[in-house]
Amino acid sequence: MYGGQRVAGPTRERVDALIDGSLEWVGQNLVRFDPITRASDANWFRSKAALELAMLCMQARRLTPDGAVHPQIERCVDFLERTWGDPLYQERVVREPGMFRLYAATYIALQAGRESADPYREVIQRIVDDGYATAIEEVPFRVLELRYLLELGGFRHDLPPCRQLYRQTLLAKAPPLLYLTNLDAYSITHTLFYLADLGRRPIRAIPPEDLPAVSWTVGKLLGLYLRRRNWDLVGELLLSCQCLRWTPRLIYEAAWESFLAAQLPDGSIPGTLRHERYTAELGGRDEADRLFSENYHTTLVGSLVGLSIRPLLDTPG
Amino acid sequence: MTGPAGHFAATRRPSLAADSSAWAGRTEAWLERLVTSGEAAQAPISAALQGIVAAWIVRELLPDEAGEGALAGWEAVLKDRLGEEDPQGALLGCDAASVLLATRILRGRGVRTSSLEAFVAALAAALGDEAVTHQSAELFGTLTLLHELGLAEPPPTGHVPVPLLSPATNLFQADEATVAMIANHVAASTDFGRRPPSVDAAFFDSLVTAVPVWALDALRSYKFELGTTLLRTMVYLGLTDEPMLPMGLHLLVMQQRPEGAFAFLAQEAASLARSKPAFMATWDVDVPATLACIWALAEGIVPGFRLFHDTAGDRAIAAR
Repeated sequence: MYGGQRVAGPTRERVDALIDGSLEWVGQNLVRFDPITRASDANWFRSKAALELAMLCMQARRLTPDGAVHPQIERCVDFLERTWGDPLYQERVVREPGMFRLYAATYIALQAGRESADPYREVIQRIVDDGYATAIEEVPFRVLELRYLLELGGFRHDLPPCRQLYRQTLLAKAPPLLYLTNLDAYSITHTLFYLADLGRRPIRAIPPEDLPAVSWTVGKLLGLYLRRRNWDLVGELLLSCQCLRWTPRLIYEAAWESFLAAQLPDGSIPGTLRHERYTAELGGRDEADRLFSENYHTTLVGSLVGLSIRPLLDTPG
Repeated sequence: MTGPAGHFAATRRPSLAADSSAWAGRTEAWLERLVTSGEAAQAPISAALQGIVAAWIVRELLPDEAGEGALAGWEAVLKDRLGEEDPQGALLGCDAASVLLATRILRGRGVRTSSLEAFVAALAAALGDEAVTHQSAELFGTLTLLHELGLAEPPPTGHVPVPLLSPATNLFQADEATVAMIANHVAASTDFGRRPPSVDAAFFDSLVTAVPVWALDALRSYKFELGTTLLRTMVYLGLTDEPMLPMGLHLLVMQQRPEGAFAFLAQEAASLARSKPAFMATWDVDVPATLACIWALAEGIVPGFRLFHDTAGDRAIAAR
């Protein structure tokens, strides 16, 4: 009980409303995810948004093995297939190997779970085999991301095992929580996403004796960002709880309640204010572009965490 | 599996208690230097009161008589201030708890100053019988100190009420005024951690979860007044297994400046200097911030230490 209000975890009906609303908004804004804005220049920020959309679609499809995916996910997949199929976009994975993680991820997410071998696969493997993509010096959780993607796509690679990569991350080094920035919090959520395959498998790379502290960290961060109404990180931390198979008492319920309540009537979920340059690159032409740049990521996170938790909820009735 | 606390670097380091001689010693040296340099002679009476309280806490943290120099120095400063014309008028503008704590400290050293004694007697009379039954958590500390001075009955400890929050807000999102109000109620209900709180069981569970989150938010935002209050609230609630408590106390130690004062508040000082007439960073920022930090540290690491109770006897028993 908080101030006389009863707080409960999410019901399936409310999670369905979260998913339906957020995916509807995404569907209405598909054009703003299009990374090909000029023939000569793939928009980096939109490419990032497209990749994040692809990851959402991958998760949705993997969670519905019978193929009965949400109609808006089908629309998004069609859009992403067209995007990837555009040579102006597709060729970037070869022409810009420095951005391999960004461009290859879209392909991998689209191909995940598909049985038919795609001819472009050999091109991707060739780039990996050349050694540059895995040699780029990146922060540890980004290396973990690359490893996760390559494993997901079934590609050969020379990256160290997850447990070894995990030990290099901020989460494993366990600095005092009081110093962590928002970016540090993202490094923690993403580390857990990759280690748990977005909640689909138990985490084995974290030593069992470290799990209580990792869970404690996630719980405290969830409380902090709930207090600060940072719905982007609240959403990611709720998914992190699922990755850990753990629900921090009271905070989890309160966070879900507030997260669901934060969804706007148009289905979007308010994000954190983006940098002006980001808004300009992503769209920046009108109010709708500005709102898109602010809210698209949090809305995708809302769909992702909703779709991920839904199979765990009781069927209504 | 081990508990969370042992996992974090900050809580694996040598214990704060074992290190206390080092950081408390630096603070003692700073407080003493303010006196010997003559700077303290310019301190307003409110700062002199805080100075003697800070020096007293530091002496409690240091072994044997190691903190006596600063305490004796601030005793002299305060006596000088109280000997000036119209100290009553100046005392009226001071925090009542500081006045009462300073009175208790001076009495403990065998010193009774007529102006201070007259002021606290007048304060006790002003609060009167009404205060004894007063349920205001804000007055609890004042009444406790008046009782310690033999000037009032012990105040009732009271109940921690469930705050009324707007429908769209949960306890984690409570505003700072509500958080401070709850902290006051916890201090009053537990008699500064000397007894279990009187609180609805479900709300107690919520507090155990929310207080560390509030402390994380406040300390991460460099709001030391609220952050240190919440660390003490965790102590009063008995959250000794909560990793946020040693983590927060460790953060305070990390905020000690080379000269011994606590908190790097040049930004706040610069802002106040522009808006507050006769602003003096030492008295308006450094001494209050240092007092807040060492108060939380002392109550967090010294078993049985409670600033609002003269607990030397209790601690001697605990040490046996």
